[in-house]
Amino acid sequence: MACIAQVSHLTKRFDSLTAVDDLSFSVEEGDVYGFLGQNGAGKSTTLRILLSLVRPTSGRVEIFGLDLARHRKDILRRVGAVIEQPDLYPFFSGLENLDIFARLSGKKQPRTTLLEQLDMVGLASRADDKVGTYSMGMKQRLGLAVALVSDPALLILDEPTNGLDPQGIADIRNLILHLSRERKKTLIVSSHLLAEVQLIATRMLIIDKGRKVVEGTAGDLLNPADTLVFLETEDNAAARAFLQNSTWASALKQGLTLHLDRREVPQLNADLVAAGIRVTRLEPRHSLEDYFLRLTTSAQHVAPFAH
Amino acid sequence: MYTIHITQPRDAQSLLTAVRQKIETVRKYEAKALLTIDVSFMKVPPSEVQVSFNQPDQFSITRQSGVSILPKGGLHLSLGTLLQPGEFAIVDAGSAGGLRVIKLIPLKESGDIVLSTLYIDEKSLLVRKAITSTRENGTYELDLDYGKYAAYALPDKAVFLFNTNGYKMPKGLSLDYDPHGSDAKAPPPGEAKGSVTLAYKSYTIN
Amino acid sequence: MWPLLRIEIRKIFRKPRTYISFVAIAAMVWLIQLGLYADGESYIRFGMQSLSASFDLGGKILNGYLVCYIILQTFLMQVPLLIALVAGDMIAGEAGMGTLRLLLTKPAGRGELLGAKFGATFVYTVTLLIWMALLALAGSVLLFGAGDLMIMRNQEVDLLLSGDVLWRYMFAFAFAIVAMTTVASLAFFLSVWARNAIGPIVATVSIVIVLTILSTMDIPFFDRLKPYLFTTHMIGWKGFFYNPVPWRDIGVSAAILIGHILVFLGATWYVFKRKDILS
Repeated sequence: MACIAQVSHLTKRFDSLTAVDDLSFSVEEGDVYGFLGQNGAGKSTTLRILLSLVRPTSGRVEIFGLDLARHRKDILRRVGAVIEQPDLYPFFSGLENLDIFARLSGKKQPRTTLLEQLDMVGLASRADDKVGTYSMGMKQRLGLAVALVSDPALLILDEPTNGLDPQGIADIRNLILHLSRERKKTLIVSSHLLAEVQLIATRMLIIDKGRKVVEGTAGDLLNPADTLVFLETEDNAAARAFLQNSTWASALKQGLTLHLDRREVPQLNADLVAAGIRVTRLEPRHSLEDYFLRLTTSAQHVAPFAH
Repeated sequence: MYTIHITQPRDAQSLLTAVRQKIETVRKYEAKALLTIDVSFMKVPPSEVQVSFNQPDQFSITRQSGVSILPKGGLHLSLGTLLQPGEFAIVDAGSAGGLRVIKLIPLKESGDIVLSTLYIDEKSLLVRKAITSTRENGTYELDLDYGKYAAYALPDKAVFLFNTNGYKMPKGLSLDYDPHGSDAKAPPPGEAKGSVTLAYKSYTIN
Repeated sequence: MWPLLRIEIRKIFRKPRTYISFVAIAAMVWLIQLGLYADGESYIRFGMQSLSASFDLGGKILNGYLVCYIILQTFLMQVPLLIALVAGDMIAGEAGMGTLRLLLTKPAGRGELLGAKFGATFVYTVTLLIWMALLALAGSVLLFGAGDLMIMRNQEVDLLLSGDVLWRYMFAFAFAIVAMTTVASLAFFLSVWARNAIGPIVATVSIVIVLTILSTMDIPFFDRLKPYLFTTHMIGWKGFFYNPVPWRDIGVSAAILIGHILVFLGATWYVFKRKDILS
């Protein structure tokens, strides 16, 4: 797989604040690269650096094998972006906005082609309406159409589902998957909605306070030894009392949730049954969300490839 | 109040009579002239005017179109008033520069004119200069040059000199373009003399 | 850069705010024309008081050329506001709308984009002044007729014959374009620093007002500053109505204004090239 984007030792300081701190990562061709972090972690700043909106204090960015500092134009011809909430010109129609940005990308297109692109994001029926009349979801979809108008090889989407309802979020997710699988685009998707990223990302980077915490595939990031088990029984109070007085006490969290190695789940089940507790649900779960929260709030960093 | 009885010298009186008679051969005329106004604080380009005259004293200057700027009280270019018999006491003041000098003092005190001095070319019976002092409009001078129409006592050029009050427009109103800031140093033009020159091009007489 | 320029011009003339300027100019011009049509003679008499003490003034003093001159003189302060209204919005407005970040992810370089934006601002400035020329000059001449133009300066009165006026107005409007482009370049520069157009617009107008006061005040201390203030040179259009026309002074004023434009644009480019786009 070719390397589409290579970031090496990227640092950005704003006066006394270090927004990005010695960050290095790479994005492979065909990746849906999840870029994760809490609000203020430095995701947006990093992506803006990749789009040459922000100048790095130090470090190097290469996209398509070209140095961003020297080949900005050549790179941006092949990149499409949605940065946070996509704001477009409210006094132009959806079609006019798309036309303007197509021309700005150097790819002026006929009306019919532009309408097809709007149709792809479900906006063909509102093509001639002023963007000022669009809903948030419609603006988001138009933003994606604008990002795609030049048929870029790399798409950078910063919080693409911001402010959308569940249906809107699902639509964006499906579109991203379509772009990746059918149109073979490489995508970098940043979000703090980790549950969503988990469903689409092939590889992920988690950052905190501008520093890389961990990078790898979803599977790599989740240690089987690091599992949350959700338990339900016919007598939850009795079950809890039993667990508190057993060797499972240290693994017991809130209610009937335990944090233990996945391979210990059969033993737990056996002990509960032996104690006369009738189990109605025993669900081990790898949750990236839980993982993320623990990673970014604890002092420890967990190795990504532990077995 | 004084009443002056002066025995009018026959020479001066008869000279004036002869001059008047010469002037009165022209009952009326229309003339085209170029009017040039020369005042320190004004820049006015020469303009074509129409001069009309009817005996004894109806004199008018008109511009066909455009703005006209003339001294207040009008251009006293007509000598008719000065030469009316019985209106002025005549004093022979001798000669100066080859011209007879005759002073005219109004007999009535109610008029505007206080004193008028004429400089007359005795040989050609032409008034070359008239200096007149008035109550309301200061002192003005009329210089006359004759040429083609000397026989009719019609000048080729008449220069009328007068007094002005000066001029000032507040800076805040005029908002002049003054990149050097030089205007601030100069005092506003105060009282000054100005002149109006009429260069006659053609006459249509009677 | 032409596609960019066309897009920027399209943006300016699609915004409703742009048309405020054209309506404002029309309203101002028509108000003055109406007022002078109704009672221009007493206005003229008042203005000519100093002169009419010694002179009889006759003829058509109140004519289209004078009305146009009065209009231009009255609007010395207002037109810069209308210029700043658009120029101050060129970058700050995009930042405020959120479209700046999208614009700058497109292949066009920042310098190219600035060039296109300023070019469009210049087109707007020229269009606005042509509009003003049509209404103030052509409109006034149609209403009041042409005639000699009497200019009352601080210490001098100039009378320009009717046939000698029109070419002066052509040059005056051309100079006004340079002057207003200077204001536009200042507003443009201030626009780089803001995310909302109000700041640059107010700042530009405030600077123009303060400097104009310094330029016209008679305080010796400020005399030393005057030659360096662009507002001193902005009224160079008036020089075309002086007799003789101070060509050298006007040339120097135009050069100083162009110098200011280049400095403001250079500074804009320098700041914008290095600016982190966080909006």
